[in-house]
Amino acid sequence: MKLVAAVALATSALVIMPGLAAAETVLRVASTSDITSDNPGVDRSGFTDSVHLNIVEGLVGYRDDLSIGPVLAEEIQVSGDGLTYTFPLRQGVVFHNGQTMTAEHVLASWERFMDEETSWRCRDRFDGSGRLEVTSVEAPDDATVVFTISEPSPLFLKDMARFDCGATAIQHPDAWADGWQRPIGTGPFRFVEWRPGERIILERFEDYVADDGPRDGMTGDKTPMVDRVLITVVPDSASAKAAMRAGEVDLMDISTSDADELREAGFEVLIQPTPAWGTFLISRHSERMANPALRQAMARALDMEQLAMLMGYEGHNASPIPPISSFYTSGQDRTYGYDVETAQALLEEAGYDGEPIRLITSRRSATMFDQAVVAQAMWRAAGIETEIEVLEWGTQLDLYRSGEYDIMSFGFSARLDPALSWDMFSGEQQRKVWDNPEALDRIGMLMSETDPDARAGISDELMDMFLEQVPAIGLYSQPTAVALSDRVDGFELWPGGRLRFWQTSVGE
Amino acid sequence: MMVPTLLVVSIIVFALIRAIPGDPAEIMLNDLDSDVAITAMRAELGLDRPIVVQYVIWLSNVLTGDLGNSIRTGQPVAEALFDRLGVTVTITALAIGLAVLLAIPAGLIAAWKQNTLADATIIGVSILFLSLPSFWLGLMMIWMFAITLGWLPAIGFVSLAEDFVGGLRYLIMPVATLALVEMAVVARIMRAQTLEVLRLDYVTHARAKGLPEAVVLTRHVARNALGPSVTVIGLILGGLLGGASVTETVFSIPGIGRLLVDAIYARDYPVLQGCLLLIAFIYVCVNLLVDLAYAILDPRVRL
Repeated sequence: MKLVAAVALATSALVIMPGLAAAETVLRVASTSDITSDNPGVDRSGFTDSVHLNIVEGLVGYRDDLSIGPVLAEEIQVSGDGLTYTFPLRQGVVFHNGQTMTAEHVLASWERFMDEETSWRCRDRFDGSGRLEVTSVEAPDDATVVFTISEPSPLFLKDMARFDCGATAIQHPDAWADGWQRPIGTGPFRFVEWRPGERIILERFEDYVADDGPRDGMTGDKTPMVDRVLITVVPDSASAKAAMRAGEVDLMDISTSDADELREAGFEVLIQPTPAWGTFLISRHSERMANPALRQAMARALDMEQLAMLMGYEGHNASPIPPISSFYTSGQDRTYGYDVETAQALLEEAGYDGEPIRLITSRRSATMFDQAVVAQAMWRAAGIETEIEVLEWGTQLDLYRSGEYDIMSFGFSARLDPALSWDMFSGEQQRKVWDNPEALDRIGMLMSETDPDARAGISDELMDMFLEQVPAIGLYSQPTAVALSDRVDGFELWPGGRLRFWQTSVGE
Repeated sequence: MMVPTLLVVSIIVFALIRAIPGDPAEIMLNDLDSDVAITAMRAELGLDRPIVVQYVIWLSNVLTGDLGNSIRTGQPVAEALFDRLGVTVTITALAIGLAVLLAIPAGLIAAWKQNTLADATIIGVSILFLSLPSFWLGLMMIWMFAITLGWLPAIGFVSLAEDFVGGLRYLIMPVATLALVEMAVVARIMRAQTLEVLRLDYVTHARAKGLPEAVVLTRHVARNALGPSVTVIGLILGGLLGGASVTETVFSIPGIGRLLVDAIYARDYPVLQGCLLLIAFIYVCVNLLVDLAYAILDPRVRL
């Protein structure tokens, strides 16, 4: 009997051992930023959104072409009058705590977001304090949710899908029972651990119910292929690169200026244009910059293509609308026209006396600083003197908000609709650089017009005015870049810029 | 003196960090801000109240042991400080220990063998390490031991309590970086002081008595030369416990220094105030320990 037991034990050990030997697959990511919270849409930053969107999902999400597609919804049904949005829910979707998602969870998540106490960053997009109000949210049955809005809006779905809104994630109420606990979403990865300033660990959600369609932005098949994602916070980019060379990192976000160095070191580098926009803001509160001829001269004195090339970008884009957008028409694909002689004539017309213009920048990103230095040289060649003031980011933001500067080297994060792209620097608030009433009227029209062709036409008119009045000098749509070790397979960047850890595997 | 010192520090810190342009609401909302959102966030964080009211609220909470929560991460400040202090204490204790073990004998030998090859070598090496920026030294170590030789991990930290051997591997390079730089400082001070002591009459007397040179050096010279070195070691200890932010950043170590620097950039007032109060407390304690050490080393202080 003992012999039989021993043989059985040995046999089972042999069967089990290979299983034990199968190593856990870990995607090791290095990030120069840490997340700011584990609470999607409430306490956020760009990188925080990236991590959250691997854990939680909303009813809808952005596709690769920046259009909107269903995620937890099976489809999106819009009524003829554009006021009622019906979302039949995907069946069998499970939360990270094992509960099956129903319409009741969608209602609970929505109520929490709209509760003032939650401090959801996007509450004012839906509560009527802006243009739009969600007047009712109902669940006619367990598998359907119906939203009714106050007026037809091209932005309703886009606002719901916004990264900084946490994609209006549907979570299980246990996540906020007795105060905020931790995210309990339906995404491909479960949130395991966050040690601030040190590391974040995500774990494959074994019961993830993937969509049928191909991977497409935040929609489609999001099957997790690795057991864990280990994100290490490495604040110094030189150390992060060293860790990658030492074989301790599989994936890291990089500056495009590091691309060649990392390629030469044998890593794969992916670069993807995004809607983030690099620009020189011109303050409307600066008396000397109020002269339109001077602003025109500064725009025409910049060799934009060379500037973009020196930054490691594919090309110049004066428009705040990114080339990947369906609203990037031939009307947007225009620029100021590099012409030093014309610039000098404009300077004379403006009565420019050679006094240095104050150019604010910071080292928050290499691009923000470098573009200021390159532009300074180009302006000097045309006879425009600038004095660069390098500030710490918080101090620069303070000046940005007050408008107390002449010119500022700046970068706007991605806006995924033309109305939002124009609105980000236009308005009457102190920080905004364009308060032309006609322009603001058109931006207002863009906010409510739902016909895509009409919207493109309005956006093109805005571009005419933008190039003529030069409230800011548009430079380029900024790309995002990552370096990958040869262990990584299947990882892809996309125009939305947020990192997607699904459909990515790691080898030996 | 501890309580008045900390009180004065807290007032200065509270006032000065609010004088820096930019506030946490602006930085958190970045370019995605709206005036409504910023006003709401300032109110939520209590930043819309008069500064004196904010200080009184903060101080009364501190007196009950509540340092508040981080604006950036929501983590209780006391918890964050406790977590980070453990990391920093580990690295600092090892670095100071190593630096003292190397620097005291080195300074003593350099003075004893003044104007010889040994003296020149010790002085040369000290000047070399003093001249090297710690971030450069750290990066060179990473290049040598992590990338080229593959002996040690380039970045990160593992608690010794979690994995003693693994944790030591992560500690070697940051500890060595700090120890080499600080060793150079202490060795030079020790050498200068030893040279002075060696010229005193009682040393000549001890030698004349026929005491072995090793006994003269260790029992009579070293003990009397240690005073200024202890003061410097105390200052270094306070400085490192207050945050070796550059070394922590290069090796991605989650210590007090990085917490402080991140808090400055994010205008995370509660964390900033907590960190600076802790650093002030550490300095006060270290000063006290240095004074006590004087009394042990030099009986005249007790008189």
